[in-house]
Amino acid sequence: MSDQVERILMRLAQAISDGTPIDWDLEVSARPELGQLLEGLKLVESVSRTRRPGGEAEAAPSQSWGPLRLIERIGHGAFAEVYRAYDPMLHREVALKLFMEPLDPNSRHEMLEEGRRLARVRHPNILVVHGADEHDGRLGLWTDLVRGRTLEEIVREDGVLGEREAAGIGLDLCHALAAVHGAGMIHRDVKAANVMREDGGRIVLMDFGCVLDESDETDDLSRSSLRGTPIAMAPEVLAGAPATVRSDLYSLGVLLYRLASGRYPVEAANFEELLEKHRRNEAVPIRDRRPDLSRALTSAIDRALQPQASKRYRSAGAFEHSLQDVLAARQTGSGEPRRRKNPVRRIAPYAVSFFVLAAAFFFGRMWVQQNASSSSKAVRQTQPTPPPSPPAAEPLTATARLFRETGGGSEALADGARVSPGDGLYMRFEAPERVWLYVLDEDEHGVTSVLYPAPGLDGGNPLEGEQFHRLPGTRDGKVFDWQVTSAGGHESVIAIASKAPIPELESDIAGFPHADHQRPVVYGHVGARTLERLRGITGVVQQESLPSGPPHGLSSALQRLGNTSASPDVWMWQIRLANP
Amino acid sequence: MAASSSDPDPSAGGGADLESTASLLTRARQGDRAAREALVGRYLPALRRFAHGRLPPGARDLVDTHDLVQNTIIRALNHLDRFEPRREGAFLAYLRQILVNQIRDEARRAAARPARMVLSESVPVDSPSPLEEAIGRENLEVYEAALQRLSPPQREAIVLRVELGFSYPQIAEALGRQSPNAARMLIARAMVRLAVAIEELRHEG
Repeated sequence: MSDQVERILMRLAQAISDGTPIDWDLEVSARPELGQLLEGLKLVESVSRTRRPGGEAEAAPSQSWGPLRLIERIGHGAFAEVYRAYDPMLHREVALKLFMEPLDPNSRHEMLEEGRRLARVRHPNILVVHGADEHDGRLGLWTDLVRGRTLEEIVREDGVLGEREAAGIGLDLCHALAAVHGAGMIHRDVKAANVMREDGGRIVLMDFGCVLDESDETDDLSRSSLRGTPIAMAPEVLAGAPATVRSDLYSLGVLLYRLASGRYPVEAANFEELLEKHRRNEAVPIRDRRPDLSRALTSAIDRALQPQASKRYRSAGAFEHSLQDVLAARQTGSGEPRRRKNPVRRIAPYAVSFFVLAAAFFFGRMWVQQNASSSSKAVRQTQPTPPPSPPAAEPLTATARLFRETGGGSEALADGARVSPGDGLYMRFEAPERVWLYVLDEDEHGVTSVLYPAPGLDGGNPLEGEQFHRLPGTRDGKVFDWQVTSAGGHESVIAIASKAPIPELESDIAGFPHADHQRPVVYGHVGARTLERLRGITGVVQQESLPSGPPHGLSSALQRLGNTSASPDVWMWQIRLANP
Repeated sequence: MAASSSDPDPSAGGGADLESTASLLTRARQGDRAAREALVGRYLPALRRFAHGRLPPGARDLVDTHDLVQNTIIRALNHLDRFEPRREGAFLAYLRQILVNQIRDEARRAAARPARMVLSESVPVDSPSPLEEAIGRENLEVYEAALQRLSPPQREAIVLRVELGFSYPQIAEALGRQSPNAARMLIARAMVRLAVAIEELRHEG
């Protein structure tokens, strides 16, 4: 059995043992060659489920690790868990990162070494590492407990940063990196998610030498989506060269680019595409994204992002020098540009849970068919706006169903089904060919939001044909649902599949913050422009008097859809749920 | 921090709750009644739940699960002198195996008798147990056979976690592992082995 297979099986076995739900269809479709072994594990799971009546909730699997007492789990990834823990010797709380699986001897040695060396680096902008050790076969690293948010969370929740703020953070991180490099180390994973702003405002660089994720998940960037490390890596490192001081500084450039724009200089759907875009020098200059920034800052970022390592800053100190200039110039220059806010609606407070994407509401089911029977006396569509791609001979068909998670299984939701806060919902979707799928929800007030694609989760559009997909998706091996978080009213969920991307929706989605289990759940609004476009491609006319929903809402409009959909390249489905 | 292993206090019968199972076993072997009772009380709930899932509904009418399990535990304790478990987990796995055999006997006996008259819908005695119903008789057989292919500690880990629903700290103690995490790893590894064994068995037909 290969290491990788072993690791997959161990992950699933642990989930079974912990009582964590597993999406078997998804696991099997991801690794069809493991079919029989997965069947075996599935059998173990079903035995386990029948024999643990009531399924008493279990506390964290362990209450201690070496000398530390675990208090609560505050973070959770594919390979490690982070606990708030108590150090009884020193009477203080610490953060403990515990690796879940045994590492191979080399990585283990490396990790321990790196942790131990870092424990000797002292700098106000670097997370204080207290130690690294192994107990009970589990490798762990314990550090100061920092209370605050990561820069990634800040950008996603509050929107992009202003020039001064970004440059100030860059300065602090240059100091931190100078200390790391001075100690003869390379951080290798500088990114917004690895930097925290403590509640008091201190900037803290964290997560050292824990770059384990990429060694495993082959080369498919789409699995780790755009939040993984490759997107922040220098091109030469991506191509296989060892990390250097200059590649760390490149990553810092990417971080500042992200703080200032919410984007990445090179974005791609998968690893190959990322490499290819780097090869073709297809980075988008920061100036194109933020023309309002000073030249001093944009050229500092540009220089850090030079594809050729020799053209970048040679040291953190040199980078810092440029950023100092930005701040000096700003002091004498005009006022700070206002912080830009993303149009974000906050749904639920943060919870470390598998169910994070919040949705809600009420729907009733309604198939929107191309050949809706005799009832199509209704409305003639009058807006044949151009479809996203030339009409094909065969109209697009697909199947979608919405399910609710129950104790140990799930139930399909029918027309008008009731849902309540706390319910986890997911959708099964299948189409005969590759499609771009958008799942929207519309509330009583006609506010439309996107439930899928869910940025931050693995996968995303396009969805391959002839296999079923469980939405919203997974991340780090965890299956995500939409969770109903509030009662009141009713809503429509609308699935739209298209043979080609719908640009307006894509651009809305690009601006949305990413869902994450360590931060409040958010989702974004769909703009009026997009609604117009959707009405256009579906050939829908707005009606005045409607059975339900707000008069100008999308769902109401879609209900009027008759038998002459404007585009055979688009398929639609709608369900309404009551959430009284 | 594995579950407590406080000092036994032989003078106080009520202190048994805090006593480690290993020390209870030692005392039970020496003929200590209070220790035996404490052990019965400790094992009964989990084993009853286990037996309930294994007994067909018809057989459940004929035997009281409670009695069945209790008698099994007592009988096993009577033979403690013959059976020197290296660890509590081994003892529990032994108990579980006796129970499985016993349940098989009961089910056979129940099938041989005429069904009792009941006012409500009658339940055929050869109807499947809840577990069989959930996973199928054939699957249950494969599972049992695969379980026998594991090493004793692996088998015990599966029995304690999957079948008896013990917590990680309890399992760490029962199997003499250093920590709950070590127990968790052992269980996961045992599950992977079990899946491999199931696959092998299916191949062998």
